[in-house]
This record gives sequence, structure tokens and C-alpha cells, in this order.
Amino acid sequence: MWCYEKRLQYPVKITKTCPKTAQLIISQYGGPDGELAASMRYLAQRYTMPVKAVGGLLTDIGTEEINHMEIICAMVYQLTKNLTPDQVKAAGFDAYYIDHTTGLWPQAAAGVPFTSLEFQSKGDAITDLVENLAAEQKARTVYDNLLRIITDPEVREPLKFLRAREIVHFQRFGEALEKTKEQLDSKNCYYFNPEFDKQFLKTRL
Amino acid sequence: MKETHLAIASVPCQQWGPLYDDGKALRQGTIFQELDLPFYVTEGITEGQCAQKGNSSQLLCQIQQISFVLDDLTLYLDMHSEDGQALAMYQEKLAVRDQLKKEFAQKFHPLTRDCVAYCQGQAGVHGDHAFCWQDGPMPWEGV
Repeated sequence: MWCYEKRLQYPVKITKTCPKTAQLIISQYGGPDGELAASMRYLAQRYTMPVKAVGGLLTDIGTEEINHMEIICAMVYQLTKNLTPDQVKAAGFDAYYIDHTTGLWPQAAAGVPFTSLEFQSKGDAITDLVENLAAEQKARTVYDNLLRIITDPEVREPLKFLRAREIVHFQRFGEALEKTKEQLDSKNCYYFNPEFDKQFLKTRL
Repeated sequence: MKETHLAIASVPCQQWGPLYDDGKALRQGTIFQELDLPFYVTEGITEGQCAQKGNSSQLLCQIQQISFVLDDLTLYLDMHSEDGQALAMYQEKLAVRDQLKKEFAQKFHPLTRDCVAYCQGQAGVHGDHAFCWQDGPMPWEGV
């Protein structure tokens, strides 16, 4: 089970309303490489992981991604707080506003709704861990793209933090892949699926 | 499969190395100096000292910093469970975090449900007998 801690993992204190920035950042809530997809991906994959420590890592990173989702939502919320109808129209936030006012709803920057098609849980530890390595890189690229064009330091600081976490998670998934590889056939790493064909595993896990 | 093989990815396993202090770690997004790989448009290392105000935001800042050190250490230990240095640091930081959380609940409001025990019965915003879990601002308000 999960226990809520009433604080953000990284502080968010944005004093300047900017619906345009909110519309870009919301992609890391419900977009294809967003934090919601990240947490759902890892928390879905963990049940069938053949190496127990890797299932543990997926739980911990999946949990951290929920923290990141909360950081992104806090940013969008603060950027659109006290919005006037004129600001809505001027900033191009009007399409979102018509459907959700200033409520939080998971979508990509271009308005595409969140869908589980954005991630995979394939039931093969090697496939899933390689997906996770790619996912961390894709999210890093989104943060790079945001940091290139957003100038407000109050918005940049949490984005820099979130970008740095993608790199750390990439390293940990790489280590998880190394741990999983130890269980494979040393001559042919694709001889069997370590999540399904358990009779071939080197150690009973 | 210790050595590298064709047709499968390999990432070198990290060795324990130089660390940032708690404040800098939160600012940079990792405690590990070797994993701090900033993007070219981002500024250099920012100092992360908690403002000495003696109020709830100073204590919350300390809790955020030490909790993040534990977050990053947890992922490291998940993959390096026998690293004695990391384990010793984990135990030390955990004890400090527990103390800070308790102090925060006693002085202000509980951050977790199991800290309700430390604030219940004190004069909170809703009075001595109200359930104190609802005290304090929501974390997304940025106060």
C-alpha cells in the first residue's frame, strides 16, 4: 500500500501566472513521456519481474514517478491560479479552458488525452527494462526541450530537478538489466523469456 | 553474463563515489556527483541552503533535503544492497529524518498519518480536539 506524505519531493513556488507555460508542462503529466505514464509503466511491470530486487526497484522508481506527477501538477496549478478570461484567450489556453476550466486533467501538450498505449508492460524482463531505459531518455529530452524555451527561474528549478532524476533512473535500470542478464543463458541471451520460461533460470528467484 | 555481449545493451555498474551535501543534492537532483550531468542551457551548481527563518518552511526544507538523500540512496541500495558505506549513511539519515518529522508534527502539523500521534491533543488550527491530519496547507499551494 502507499502512504501519503504531505509535501512535494521538490518544492514548487511559482508566483507568476503563465497559462502558456502550463500548457507545455502539462505534457509531463499526461503526455507520451510523462510522469503518469512512467509510474503506471513501472508499477505494472513489477509483478512478473524474475529478479526480486528489480521488482523492488520498479516499485521504488514507480513511487518516485508519482511524486514527480504531483510536482508537475503543482506547477500547472500554480501557473494557472487566478487566471482571468483575458489571460486565457491571450495565451492560447482557451481550448483547454473550455473543457477543464483550470482543473487538472492528464493530456499531452498538443491536447492528446492520456492513454495506456503510451507505455508497455510486455512480460519479458529484458524487453521491459530496455523500454524503461528508453522511457527515461524520452522524458529527459522533453525536459531538455522545456528548459531550452522556458525562462522563469521558478519554473526552471523543478524542471532541472526532474531532468536529473531521469538520468539517475536510467543508471538504475541499466544496473537492473545487468542483474537480470546474470540469469540468462551465457551464450544466447534470447534463448528463453526469463519472466515466462522459468525452468531455464539459473537460480530459483 | 559479466562481460559485454553482442545484441544486448550494457550499462556500467556504479561504484560508490563523491557525494553532494544534502542541500546541494536536492538542488542538483542527485546525491552522486558522477551522475550529475546537466544540460547546456542550465546554470551551474546552485547552493541549496535552507533559509534560517526558524519557521515551518525552514524545517520543511530540511525534511525535503534529507528525505531526498534517502530517496536517491534507496534506489542505489536496491541495486547495491551490500554496500556498507551506503547502508551506514542510510541508517544515519533515517534517524535524523524521523526526528525532524516528529518535531514538525509537534510544532506545526503532521506530514504523514503516523505523525498524527505527535500533534493530536495540541492546540491546532481547528482546536485541541479536532483531527490534526487536515492541519497545514496542501503541498501544491506552494506556501
